[in-house]
Amino acid sequence: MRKIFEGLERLSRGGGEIVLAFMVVTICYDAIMRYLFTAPTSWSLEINTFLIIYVAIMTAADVQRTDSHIRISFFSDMMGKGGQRATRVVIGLFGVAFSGIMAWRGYLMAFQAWDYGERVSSSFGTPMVFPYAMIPIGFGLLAVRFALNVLDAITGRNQDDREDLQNV
Amino acid sequence: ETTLTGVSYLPPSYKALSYGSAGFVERLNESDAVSVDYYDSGKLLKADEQLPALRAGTIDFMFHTTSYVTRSIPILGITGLPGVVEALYENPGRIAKGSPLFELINEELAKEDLYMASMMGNILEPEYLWSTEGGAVRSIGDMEGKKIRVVSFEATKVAEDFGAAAVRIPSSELYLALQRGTVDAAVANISTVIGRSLQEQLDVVYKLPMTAYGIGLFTTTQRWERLGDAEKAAFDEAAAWFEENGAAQANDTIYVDEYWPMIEEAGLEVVEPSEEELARLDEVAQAVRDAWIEEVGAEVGERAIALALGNGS
Amino acid sequence: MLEPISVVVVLLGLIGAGAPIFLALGASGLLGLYMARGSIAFFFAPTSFFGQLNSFELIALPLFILMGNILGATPVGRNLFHAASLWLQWLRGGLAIATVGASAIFGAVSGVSVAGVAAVGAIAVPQMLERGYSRTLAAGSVASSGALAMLIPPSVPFIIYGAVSGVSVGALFIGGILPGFVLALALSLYIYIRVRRNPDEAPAQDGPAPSTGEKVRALGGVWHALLLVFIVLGAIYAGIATPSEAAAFGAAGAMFIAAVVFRCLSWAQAREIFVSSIRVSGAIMLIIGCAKIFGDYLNLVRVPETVSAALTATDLPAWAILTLIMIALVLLGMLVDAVSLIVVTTPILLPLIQTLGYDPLWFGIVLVMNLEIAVVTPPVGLNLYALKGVCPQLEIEDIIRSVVPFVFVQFFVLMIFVLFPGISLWLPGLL
Ligand code: NA
Ligand code: NA
Repeated sequence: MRKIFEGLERLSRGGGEIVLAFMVVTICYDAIMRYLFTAPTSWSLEINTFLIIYVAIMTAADVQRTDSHIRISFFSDMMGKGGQRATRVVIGLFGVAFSGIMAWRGYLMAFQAWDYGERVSSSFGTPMVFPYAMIPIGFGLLAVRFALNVLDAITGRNQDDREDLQNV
Repeated sequence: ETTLTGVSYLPPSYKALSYGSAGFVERLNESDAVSVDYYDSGKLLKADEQLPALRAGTIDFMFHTTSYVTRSIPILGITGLPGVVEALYENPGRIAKGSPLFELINEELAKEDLYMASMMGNILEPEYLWSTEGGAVRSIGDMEGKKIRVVSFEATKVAEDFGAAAVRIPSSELYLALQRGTVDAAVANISTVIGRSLQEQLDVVYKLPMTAYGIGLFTTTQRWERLGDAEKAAFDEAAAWFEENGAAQANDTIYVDEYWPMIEEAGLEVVEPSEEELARLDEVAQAVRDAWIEEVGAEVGERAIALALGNGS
Repeated sequence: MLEPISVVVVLLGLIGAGAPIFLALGASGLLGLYMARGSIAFFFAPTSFFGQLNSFELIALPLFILMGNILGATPVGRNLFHAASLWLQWLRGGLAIATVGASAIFGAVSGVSVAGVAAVGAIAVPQMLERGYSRTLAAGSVASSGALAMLIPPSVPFIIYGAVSGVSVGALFIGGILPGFVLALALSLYIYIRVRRNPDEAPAQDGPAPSTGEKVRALGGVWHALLLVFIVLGAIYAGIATPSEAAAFGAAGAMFIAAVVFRCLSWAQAREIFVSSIRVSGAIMLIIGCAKIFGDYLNLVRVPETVSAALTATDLPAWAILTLIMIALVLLGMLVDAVSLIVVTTPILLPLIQTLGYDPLWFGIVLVMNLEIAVVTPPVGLNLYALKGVCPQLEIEDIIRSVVPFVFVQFFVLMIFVLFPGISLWLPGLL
């Protein structure tokens, strides 16, 4: 199970790499087409804006897996082993609750947008269900990851080594 | 007292647009039946999040620019159809509360559980083409090969049909884009031009009515029905004020006495389209109208257009 | 007022306990919304999050991070700082001062400060650390000078202030030039004085003074960096791209330099760069989105409005009111993001400012100068996290500690412009 879940996390991070490359290529393409040929795309701004949501949330679980989210560990480092484990449990529970609520309400948001056929009022007209759907998926993965953090803290399983943000 | 939560994403500094909404809130708040918890400037919800919030029951009413939601609520597209908006704008009664068009819109909205209490009495003065010296647009012919910043679906289609490139850039970058020639022109309401100081970078306004919008006061049918009689009465009374003063104050007072003089002072050349050009716009816009009719259904669409043009009943 | 205080306590408690910053902001914001509004709060959280991030201008952040990471794999940064260290050998702390200058130049391209921190920090910090600069000097100079992007035109905060106040954006842009320049100068001066008093923080270069030939040769290695600056600046000034779009040109240009000029970008390395860029961007964006949930709670219970309104009710002399306003804005700036701060406080403070007889143009300038402080003060201080994101070798605690003296310098400069409005209005008045 854990392996499958980690696979999902890596998959959505891998999607992020593609997203980043897509952004560079399409934004340059759009601007050059506009400048040289007066033929910009109708979709670049719209899709790339929604991809920012992807960058923000779809990689969050993977970053949490390696405990690489930005945090201040100054005080918790001063605590004993037991205290550290207890805080890990508490923080994990906060994480499950917050991410769970975000996923649940994000799902309702996406469902409603689909149900009512909400679209961007542009010529490209992206159906809003697609960008909204990233919230339940991303926060859903994150909620599961926090739950695993809690479990690991209770059972005493060590977290995966903290990989600092740039040394992946 | 019942507390009603309302939102608008427009800041008070867009005073032509928020005069009506601010007055509505003030009046509703003064009533004995209702107190209002109101958030403007997008403090609580950004423009895109207002409609979902209303549907979810998080807020009780919202002011919304129709052009932002015409693809989610197609019937509101009537306020932005090129070839129609000029006639609608010139005849405020046609979309006034209680008019056949107003009722038709509400019948369609009801299918989505929405209720429009008022459309500020009229739509706002149409959106024209504002251009820079380097890419001046003084006629339909001039649009060929120009980069024109548009937002709405309706304006995009018309601009493209006249041979222009429809460019999408964020509104916060429009000022610089006009200055640097990233775009030659923009389709905009005069409120947007003044609100973003765009007149500083613009040289020509070609008053071709590309599209338009109104600011509607919306709630959901469910919420509306749950209100007590006293609350409904208070709401209606404030809405009646909004109906009478909303668009009128913007179109007839602020635009005329303040905004257009500011445009003149900034040295912009004002070009009126000829009858022929308006006829050409009408012709090209047929495709936009057809696409819209298809979206809302032939019967409703044709009837709405006829009513807006003053031909229906 | 008890509820907001307890929410802030939860926020600080979670941060202190070592929770991820995004979680501390999101969870305490959600809790506050729940206490204020009941279950409706659950609706606000995802919509605030989405609404905040659903903005094209933010795209500059991941793209400049990518650019910085790609450059990190090339000798570009090293060459640039090698040249700077040769030319500035006579000046102790020269690299930190050069960093301030680089931020100012970058600020003339970008309108958002986190993008500036990401782009400059990724190159400057490792170079300074390698040359023995103290961590706090390296971090503080980048985090605080990165904010110059907001003051030096183009500037997104000025555009927003223009829309909210009705003041000409053009006048604001011109008005931002002088304070931007003065602030850059003040930060440089502070660094200069600081390293004279604590020579350990910026070791003098050993060895004989470099010959002129050596200095000129070193310039040969900086043309790549200049090319990149030319691509990004040129794309904007020639009207090819908007400032946000220009970030994509920067990233593409960096890729070109790495792959074609230096031929140092293997497939595996490129992937590694993309992986780390996406994770860093994601971590920062997540904080930006969740900060909005917290900010929306404060807005819902009208904390910024209440504070602003309380200030307008006093009948102190003008200079005292202005000083209080500035201090209150600094405090609010710790908790609220820059854009919200403008949108929420301007409509309340501006009438007071005008009643006191001050120019709204001037207020816009000092407000944005105040935001320079807001973006480096925790817990909602995005420049801090942006810097941590691109410089994992720095601890976030170090970064926070390092900005403290810089904040005092910023506040000092701010108060000069507050108490002598004529200085801010001089340049716009000429035009
Ligand atoms: Na700037
Ligand atoms: Na802050």
